[in-house]
Amino acid sequence: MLSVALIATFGVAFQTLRIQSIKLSRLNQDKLKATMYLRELIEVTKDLEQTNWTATGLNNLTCVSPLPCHPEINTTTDPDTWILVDGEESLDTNSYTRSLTINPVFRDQPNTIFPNSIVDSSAPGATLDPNTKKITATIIRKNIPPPNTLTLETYVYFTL
Amino acid sequence: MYISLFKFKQFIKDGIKSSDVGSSAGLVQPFDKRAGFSMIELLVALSFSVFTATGLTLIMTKGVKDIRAIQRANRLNANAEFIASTLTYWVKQSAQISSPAASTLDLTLGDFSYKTIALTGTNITLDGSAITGNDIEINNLAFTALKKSVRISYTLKAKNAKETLSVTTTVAQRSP
Repeated sequence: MLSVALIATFGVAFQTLRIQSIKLSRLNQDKLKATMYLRELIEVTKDLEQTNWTATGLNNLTCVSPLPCHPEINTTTDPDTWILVDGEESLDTNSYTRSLTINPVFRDQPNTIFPNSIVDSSAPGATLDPNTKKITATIIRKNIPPPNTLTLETYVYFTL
Repeated sequence: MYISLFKFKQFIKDGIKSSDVGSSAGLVQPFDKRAGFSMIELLVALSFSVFTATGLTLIMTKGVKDIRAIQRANRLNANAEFIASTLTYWVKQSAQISSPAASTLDLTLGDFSYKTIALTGTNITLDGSAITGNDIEINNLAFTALKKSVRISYTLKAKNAKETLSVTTTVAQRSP
């Protein structure tokens, strides 16, 4: 009876370990995919930084925080280009929801005077820099309980 | 009170002699030479052992299978990360991007040298050298060259197994 009890205990422990390992592996894979999708948003804005500062790109007013928007490929141009479209985007049959927002950037001195630093909009003397935007990319992993949001931030500069 | 060893042995022998071995009651006494396991007890113990051993073997077999599947999934993750970082590195180095075929990406670098990333068989190759591991295969590789970026999607599959991982990402060229 003792050996049966020992073996049963070992079996239960092994099963628990196995189930936890499977769960962890799935979570890892899910997080990897989410990270790839999130990085894509940042890379898209790096493309737009060099190609599109119009109302369909980084000056899209429907993307200004807190309004969310997402990128789409515009196939009417040659070559294809990225554009920003309002609203969130669902991926992998609603497993993920991703979006990005664009924030205006303020500096402690006008953009033409150097050196200047990025400051909060409420800082004294804060001046809007129209050539810099702050991008916040967010992805929500729908298949797991909170905290299930990943966020990346970057700045883009007008260099056209 | 102390007794000698001889007296102790004698006490034991007397105890055996006086035990109720041959009585009709058949009660097993403390010094009964017949004491042990009955056939029923042995059968019950044996069936318990067989039952437990079978259960344990099943659990272990399933566990080992699952652990191997987890290892394969981890290899897929590692390969997906490696492919993404390799492609990101070379796209960031490039001055021009073109995709002559869906699964081929030509990169012109700043020094006017070229790099070609393509699907060769079930491997992603960089100038002909495989950048994917031997234990995985790439089923779909698609490049979409955009103005200053490239969208990349690929599906990794563990060889001789069912685990797959589909990845889609975009890499932009560096800002000038």
